[in-house]
Amino acid sequence: MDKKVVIYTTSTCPHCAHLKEFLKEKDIPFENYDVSQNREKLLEMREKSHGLAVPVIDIDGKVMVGFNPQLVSKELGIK
Amino acid sequence: MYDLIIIGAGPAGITAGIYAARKKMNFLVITEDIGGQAVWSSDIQNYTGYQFISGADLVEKFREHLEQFKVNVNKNEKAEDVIKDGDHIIIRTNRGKYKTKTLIIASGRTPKEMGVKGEQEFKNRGVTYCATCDGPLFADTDVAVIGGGNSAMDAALQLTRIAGRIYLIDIADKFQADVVMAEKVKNDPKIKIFHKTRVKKIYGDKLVEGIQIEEEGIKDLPVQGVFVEIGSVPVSDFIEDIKKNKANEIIVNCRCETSIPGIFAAGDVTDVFSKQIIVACGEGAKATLAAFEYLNTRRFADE
Repeated sequence: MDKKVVIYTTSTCPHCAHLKEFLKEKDIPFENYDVSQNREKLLEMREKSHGLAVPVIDIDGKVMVGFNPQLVSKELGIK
Repeated sequence: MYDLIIIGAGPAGITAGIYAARKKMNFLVITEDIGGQAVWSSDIQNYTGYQFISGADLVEKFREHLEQFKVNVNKNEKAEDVIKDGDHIIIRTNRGKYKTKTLIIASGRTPKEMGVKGEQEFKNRGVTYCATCDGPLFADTDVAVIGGGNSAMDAALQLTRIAGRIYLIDIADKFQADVVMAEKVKNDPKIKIFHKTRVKKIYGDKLVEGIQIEEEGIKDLPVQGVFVEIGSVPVSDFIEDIKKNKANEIIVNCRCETSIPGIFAAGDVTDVFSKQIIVACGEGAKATLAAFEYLNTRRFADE
């Protein structure tokens, strides 16, 4: 399992907190950017997701908006 | 076979769980998330014992309280079907099938959509249902908040710290929100209020560029964000043969009993008067106590 996981979040967003907790529970390493603090990453997120909503999850180039545990698990190939 | 399964872990479900743990019941919580709608609230001033607390902090305290007991909580799991089979209840989820003697439905509510042109198209592209989540993405831009209740006031007030100009669009001639919150909104110079105003459509190219409103004729408001805060609908579709009211809320009596023996319901998914965190907690407690009594006064066929 060496897929690269990048997530874009805000500190106040409960779904983002769930996502981080989920990845930690499953022992998946990830890079996290708080886009409310980081303008550059906010633009990068907009570019990738064509949208304005968090969390955005990028798993090896597959971009998802919003946290759906089933879809994330499927993409990571975990149960 | 479980004594009790609780669907949902918002204020009602968590409180039901705490009561079940203290009664040493053999139970399971099945839930998509922890905290439910309570998490979205930024400013709670009417939960006894706290003069001020955020929804996220209050939920964290609820969670700690529940987790001090050894409790089985299946997170990220969604109930899809419930049937009563003889004297037990079968729950099918996206991950499995469970059997229980009693059930508490505490699945809460989910945000309502406006149903206007452009809403689906621009979802997550400027249209959002969660000011707490997405608010920070709209720094220094102009935004519209749609609604006139507490959640609309809460969203508008949160956005005053982030966004540029805030247009608050309310369909009614006066706010339904608590007076304290409505006053704060009225006195905030960044918020411009439109009463008796409908949103006609949301427009843009890749992202939202504005909304069209109907206020003494049609008018365009250029905004980058649209925060929809027009209330919610109960999450009750996964169970069919249970009595519900016109609003799709599960009908309960003062013991949280539903039309199906052994199935109880609590909190915002029910027709209980007033959807408040503290009321939902109380209902959750009642539901477990009623389920406990139900178990103790009945014989069940072999397990």
